[in-house]
Amino acid sequence: MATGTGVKRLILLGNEAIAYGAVEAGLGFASAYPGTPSTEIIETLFRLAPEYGFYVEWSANEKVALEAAYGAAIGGLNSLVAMKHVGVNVAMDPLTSSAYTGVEGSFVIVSADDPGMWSSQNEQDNRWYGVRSYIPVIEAGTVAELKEVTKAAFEVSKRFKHPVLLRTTTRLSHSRCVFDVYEPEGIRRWGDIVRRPEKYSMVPSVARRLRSEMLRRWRDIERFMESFRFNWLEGDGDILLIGVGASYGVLKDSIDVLGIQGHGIRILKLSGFIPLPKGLLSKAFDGVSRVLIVEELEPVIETLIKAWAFDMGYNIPIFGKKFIPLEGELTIERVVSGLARFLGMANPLIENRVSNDVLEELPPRPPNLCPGCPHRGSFYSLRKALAKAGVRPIYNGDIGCYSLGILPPYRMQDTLVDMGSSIGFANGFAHILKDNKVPVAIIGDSTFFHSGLPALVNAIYNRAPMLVVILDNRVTAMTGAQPHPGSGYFQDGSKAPRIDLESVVKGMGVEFVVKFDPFNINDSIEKLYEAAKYVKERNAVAVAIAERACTLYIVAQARRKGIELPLYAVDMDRCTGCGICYNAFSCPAILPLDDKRAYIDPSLCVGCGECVYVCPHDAFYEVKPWSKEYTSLW
Amino acid sequence: MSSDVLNILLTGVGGQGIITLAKVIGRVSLNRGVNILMAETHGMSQRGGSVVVHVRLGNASYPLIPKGLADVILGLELIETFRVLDYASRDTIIIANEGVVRPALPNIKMPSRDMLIRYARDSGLNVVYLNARELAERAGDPITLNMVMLGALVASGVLPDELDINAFKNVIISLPMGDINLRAFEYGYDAFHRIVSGDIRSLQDALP
Ligand SMILES: Cc1ncc(C[n+]2csc(CCOP(=O)(O)OP(=O)(O)O)c2C)c(N)n1
Ligand code: SF4
Repeated sequence: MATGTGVKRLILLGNEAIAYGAVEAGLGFASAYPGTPSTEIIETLFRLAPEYGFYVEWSANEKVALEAAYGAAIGGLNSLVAMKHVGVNVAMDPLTSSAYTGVEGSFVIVSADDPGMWSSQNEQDNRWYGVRSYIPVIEAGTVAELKEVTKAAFEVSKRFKHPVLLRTTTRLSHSRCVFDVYEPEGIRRWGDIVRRPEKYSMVPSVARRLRSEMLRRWRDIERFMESFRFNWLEGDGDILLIGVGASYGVLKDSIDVLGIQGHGIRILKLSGFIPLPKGLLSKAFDGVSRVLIVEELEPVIETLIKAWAFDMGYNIPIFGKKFIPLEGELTIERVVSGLARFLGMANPLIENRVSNDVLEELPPRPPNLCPGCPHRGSFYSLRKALAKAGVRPIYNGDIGCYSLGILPPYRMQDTLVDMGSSIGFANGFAHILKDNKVPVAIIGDSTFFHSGLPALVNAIYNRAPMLVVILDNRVTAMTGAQPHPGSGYFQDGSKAPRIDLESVVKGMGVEFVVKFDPFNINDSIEKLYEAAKYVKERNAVAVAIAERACTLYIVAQARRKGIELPLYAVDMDRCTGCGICYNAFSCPAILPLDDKRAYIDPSLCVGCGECVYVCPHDAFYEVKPWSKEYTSLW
Repeated sequence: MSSDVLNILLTGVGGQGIITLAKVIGRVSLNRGVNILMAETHGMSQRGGSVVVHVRLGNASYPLIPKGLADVILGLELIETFRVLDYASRDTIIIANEGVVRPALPNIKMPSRDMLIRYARDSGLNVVYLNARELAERAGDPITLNMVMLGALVASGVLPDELDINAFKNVIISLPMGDINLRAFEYGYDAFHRIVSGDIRSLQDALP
């Protein structure tokens, strides 16, 4: 595949390698909705697009992103869509049918799973989706393989004109190593009109025929995967260890730790495992007496292999989850422990440890809202306003930086399940609460465009009284400040159409809509109070929109442009040490001194000025005012 | 593996520049043709949470260092350094910035620095403490604390021969604010030598 021209040696993040692999495969179209750990794939493609000319977009949600890329693949292009594991749930409907229709070009769906839930609400194993959807699943065995395996995913898809699921994990996506990068052989940017309703319009009569065709194609793919070049056998012996996807890398290093390489052990590496490469499996099983399948999370391959082995009449012990943990990310020490038990050896890593009792003495350090984050002011004001209005809230939170409102002192995320669930859950609570108990839905702007819209339409139609607070910070902050339909600009900073939240909400028919600036605490409390009163008295939907950009994003721009930040400080004569600013408001730039009085760390302060409103003793004052340049960034 | 892989664990608080520090090590390894595999582990990025980067030099297949097998721990913040002790053994060289960053949670109890240092001493750990913040400020900007720590890592002599001080200097000078960063790196490099040679009294010896 490599042409050898323009080869460059680079250190790349796993996700960057996936992007480079797609480009080398002749990518024409890419779309995504951001989500950790997938985001850098599209960010990298945005960087490479001007040079290679393919099309890239941030879509409004994963379903739209998948349909867009699917459409482009029907139009004949090589296309890619990327999302985090839970994003695939959102896109499941078109994804399932894409295996029925196939495409004209190639179509690679990247699912970035998050074993260990480093930044997710669950650790679902999306390999099952391949099994239940007749979509091949391919996963690199090591970080170093990512780029070539990505290219192989495109090759399989192109060959069978069938979608392929390229699975990656947090560990693969967020690791770095050295890659050789080549120039693509040719990029096709423009597609064709394809008028083939007998293939692409899934009315029942068509769908029935397509299902038979899909099953036939699946058998062809199965045969092809027999010789997939990223599957292989290593070593020999009567014990078979199977490393599935990225678990192969863990298995290799664990074997090294145990020092058992070459000691009667045969290794089967599987990177293309759905459909199962049965011929290769037969070879691997030939003459072995025991088998251990090492795979992260669910026993997907264990289940498939056991069923196959039963059909084949193998009568040997086959293990998987009995020795390898079902929960959480695999690590070398966890696999070493399982392997040692499986082989009846001592675990050499146990003696090595030092005592860690000190851990209990260490305070936790969860991620927290940035200093000057507008969400902090919104939470603070919302709580005061609801108390003032005599409303007892249930806070239906949502997914974004504001999820951190679950932490003390705010604790204002009573429910938080999936993107859009804030308004969704409020639709339930609205009809079962009375006596001044009011559902509040707190939702970010990006999340509102992603999946809040239909939930709000539902609330209006079904007359569900609720207070909806939309936190408009202009970007998708949690995943690194990507623009969205309300931002007004594209990833490269050029001007884009801006969908105005207030007009959208009014156009839907919400009668009470109010905007507030969370930096102005007094005014925010007043406006949120009016909104809460409206819901309580009128039993209807009210929407309050917090308008203040993501501070981290603005401060990064200021730093880049050399613009000086404003600064506040504490008047020590006025400060009584009451702690409201660092405990009740909890700004990370305000620290307690030994005598409990407050101190602003000038390296953390961004000059939001909210402390001035929060302090009952008037102790905060401006040291450096907002410059014209700084003001214009907001 | 343990014999031909060097395991370096970098730890600190989001915003301290750990990722930049790791990228410099990556760049130097690339320039000098040393195999490197690095994993960044953090929760929800850049909002002041704990950040740990695993760096493995040599022929590793999986990027996470096994617990108990870190050859070096480079801690940019003291609490975070103690949080990763699971990765250490008595053979591990621990290079720790003595500075503490208070987590932004209300009403938390902070461990005392003396308690932590005594704990390390009593557990027989091999720790070198640096006042990296002061050195960074002296270099011209507290933000260069990461380069001070990198200087100390290079001075410790654990890195493979190919990754010598000049290889680092060449990369650091090309960073934004290259001159200040380079000065910070050199201060960290010298400070490590002076602490180890007893020229500067180490915190451990200063315990009551
Ligand atoms: C289905 C799904 N897609 C993507 C994500 C990843 N994700 C978490 S929060 C978030 C968006 C947050 O943006 P916004 O609502 O504007 O809140 P902000 O972080 O800006 O405060 C995304 C994309 C997810 N958790 N679930
Ligand atoms: S990244 Fe932006 S939205 Fe997120 S916590 Fe920081 S300032 Fe707030």
